[in-house]
Amino acid sequence: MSTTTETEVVHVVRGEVDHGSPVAYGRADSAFTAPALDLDRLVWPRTEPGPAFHVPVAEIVDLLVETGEALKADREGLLAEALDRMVRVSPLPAEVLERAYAVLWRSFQRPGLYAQIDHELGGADVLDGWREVRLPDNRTAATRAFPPRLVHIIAGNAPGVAAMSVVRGALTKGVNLLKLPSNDLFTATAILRTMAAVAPGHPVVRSFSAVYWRGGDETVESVLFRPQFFDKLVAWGGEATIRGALRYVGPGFELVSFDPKTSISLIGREAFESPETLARAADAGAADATFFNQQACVASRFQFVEGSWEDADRYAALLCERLGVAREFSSADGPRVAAELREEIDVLRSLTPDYRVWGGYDGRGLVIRSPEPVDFHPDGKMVNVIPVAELSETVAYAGVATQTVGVYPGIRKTELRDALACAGVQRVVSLGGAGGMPPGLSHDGFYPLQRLMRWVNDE
Amino acid sequence: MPSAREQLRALVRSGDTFDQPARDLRELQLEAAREAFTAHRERIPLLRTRATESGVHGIESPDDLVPLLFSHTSYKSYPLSFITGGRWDRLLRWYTTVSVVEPGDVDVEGVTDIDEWTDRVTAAGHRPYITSGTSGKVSFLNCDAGDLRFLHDILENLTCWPDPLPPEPTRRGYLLAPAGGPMRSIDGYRWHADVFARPGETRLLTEDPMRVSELMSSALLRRRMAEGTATPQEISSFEAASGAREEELGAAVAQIVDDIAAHRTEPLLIAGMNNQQFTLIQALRAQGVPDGSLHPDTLVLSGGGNKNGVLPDDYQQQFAAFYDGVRRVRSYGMTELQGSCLACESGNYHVPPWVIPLVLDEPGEKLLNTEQGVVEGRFAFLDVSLEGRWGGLISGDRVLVDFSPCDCGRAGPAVLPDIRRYGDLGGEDKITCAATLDSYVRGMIHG
Repeated sequence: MSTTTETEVVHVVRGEVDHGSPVAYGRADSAFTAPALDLDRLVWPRTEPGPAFHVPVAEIVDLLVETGEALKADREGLLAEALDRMVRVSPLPAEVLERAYAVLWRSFQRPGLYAQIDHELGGADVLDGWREVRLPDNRTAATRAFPPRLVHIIAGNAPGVAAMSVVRGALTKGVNLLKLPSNDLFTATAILRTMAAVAPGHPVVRSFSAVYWRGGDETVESVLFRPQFFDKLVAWGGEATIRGALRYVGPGFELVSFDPKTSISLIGREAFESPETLARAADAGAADATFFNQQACVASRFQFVEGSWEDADRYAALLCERLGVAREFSSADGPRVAAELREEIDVLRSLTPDYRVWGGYDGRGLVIRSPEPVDFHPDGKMVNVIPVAELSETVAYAGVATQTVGVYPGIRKTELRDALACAGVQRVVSLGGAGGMPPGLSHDGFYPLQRLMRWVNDE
Repeated sequence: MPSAREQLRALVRSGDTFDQPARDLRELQLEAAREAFTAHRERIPLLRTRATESGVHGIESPDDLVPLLFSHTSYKSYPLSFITGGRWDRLLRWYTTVSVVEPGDVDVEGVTDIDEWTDRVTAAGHRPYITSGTSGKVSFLNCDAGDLRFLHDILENLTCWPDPLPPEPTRRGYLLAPAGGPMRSIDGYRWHADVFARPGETRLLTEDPMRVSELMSSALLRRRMAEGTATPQEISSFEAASGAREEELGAAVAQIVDDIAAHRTEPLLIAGMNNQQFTLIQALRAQGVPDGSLHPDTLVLSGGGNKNGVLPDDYQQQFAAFYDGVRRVRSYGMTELQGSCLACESGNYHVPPWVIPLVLDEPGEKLLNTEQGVVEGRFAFLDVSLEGRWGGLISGDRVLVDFSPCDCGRAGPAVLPDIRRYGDLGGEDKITCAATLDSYVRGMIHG
């Protein structure tokens, strides 16, 4: 028997709200229901083009911009409803979700959309038709970014991921099946329903479905993840997700993976020039560490300070103070530090002076200064500060899993960026600028829009 | 008047260890908890920190114990660099914060590897039992000489409880384990062989002792890979060495299998972790040894979780079928606990009297214990018998504990047979793009 405490998840199937019979998921306090899946309705047959294959990209941009306006106004109350339910499933506090929802529209602004089209694809012409290219032997050929069939496994740690996925999916003109994660069961559908309210029955609207199934459920994934139905699996995050997805990858069914990532910060000795520079660096370091209360991959967890242990301690003390400040995408209070981490930290406290700890376990911020990076994964507004003699030494701590490296002062990026890139890093930013990736730049080492398209030649 | 802890420990030889009146036992346990807290708070800094932080200054009720429980990670909370960098004095200093070992107790002068470090701690009258988790980092759980004697008492008096096996050396022994090493299961198997097997007639998987450094080698290699300093040749050599080791052990198991098949009409002692036991059973069946055909005085010891699901779901049923008619030790326990919860005639696992079971909610914060009835939650406990370390711990297991008297007629509490790890229960389908470096690199290599 179902109880009234269960959260009800809405599905969108080909642009329309789906009212299938509810199925129960989750355990105890995280229980929810979602409509039973009709697998046939989740694929767009290859015997016919997708609904939006021939819609001019200018029209799609217009629709996205209007959707953005509608999201900003939320006249239908769809975002408000989603937000209300998100509070029950998301690890993020309500105020952070609220602020994140309030700016979802930003992903739908015209300049940003064209930045993606222009920088990633070299212009809209190749989306709308065949781009003539001259070959070395003076022959000509034509090439086109053809709409793909995509199944997206999205991450739920930041609502912007759903917005970004809808935008990219729409710009491709292809068909898109979004699989909802249990930590964000509502944002994607709220966006799609808002779009449907703006333009009911629009081909782009009909090109989207967003549904839940339990990640890894073979009865669903072994059926859907086939080249007969989709070209590419666009998978975000989670090692288990990516490993699970790999089983299905094969000829004709490709994986586009936004791998799980982690981020670090490098603080140059210039931070110690004056109390003002130190305050600036600590505040910027705190901003980067607390992005989505440290739930995002761009959130810095290890910060290397060029200086003595005493310098590192001065920075750490200030940083700890600044971690407890509410920002656009973080709250003053974060999650309480998990019991297992508390113990590890208690032990480190007893190993002074090699280790020093600032802050408590209440989620308002905690900083550990250690002679080298700690073995555990700092999480929930926790930063590990490590003193180094030269910033160049920190390259050894960057690797293929390191996404964003924030550097203070920004001028020091130049001397470090090649070495960091060589180690595997994908973004080098001025400290404080880790949050919010500008549209039109690469993401995780590639241009997403370019990877999502099917490139077809006429030779 | 012996102390409450001594009275509880003495129950191991009483003949009715698991049949104490519930109310009396609870009072004695609470008194013993006070004694343990007072004694350990003096000597174990981590417990002292915890007590100060949580404001618990005395034990009035089991609720007061909850904030004092450690998680299993406490015992592997040392920075790995202490081992990779050979900082044995710092590792010792860490050890003195989580155990009763004092810095002056152990001489670490000239130690060159983790095995030598472990030997030095042992030489100082302590036994650092290790457990290895999936992370590759090992836990060090300290026991002192009294704890080891108590463990030995348990096996001598309670093996095969509720119908304890007389301590007579009448069996041919097979230990699917190395000759030695700081693991409680290895010591346990050897002691069982001393008590229950004929002298000089025990076969081992290998005459080499288990080396902690070898057990940790994959973790250390992974660390070097994450740092980008491991070479492809190094990775390849490591994998080849692991393969060779596996083959060697496979050959040893094959010899043991032949020997068991030849002597199966005699009383035997067969001890091994579940995965080795499973391999053994498969091989014996392949040799034509039918289920239920071993001598009825045979003693079988098995244990260990099904980490990463390497065994089929029905392995317990397969064990029961193959070993039908022999004496088996059936228990629920973990290295962290002195003396397991033993299965009664009704198949429920009775909590030994020196262990206070604490059933917590899933986050491990709220005590759910009742006087009567069945409670579902996370298994935690205070083992008041422990001298070498604080015995309060929170496990990862989801259990059902019956606080009412058991069907077998004894007073509770008893852990019911449906035991699972929270980690295996699922229900989480949360996807985030934030990774740990370790999981990323491990994934890349072993995928």
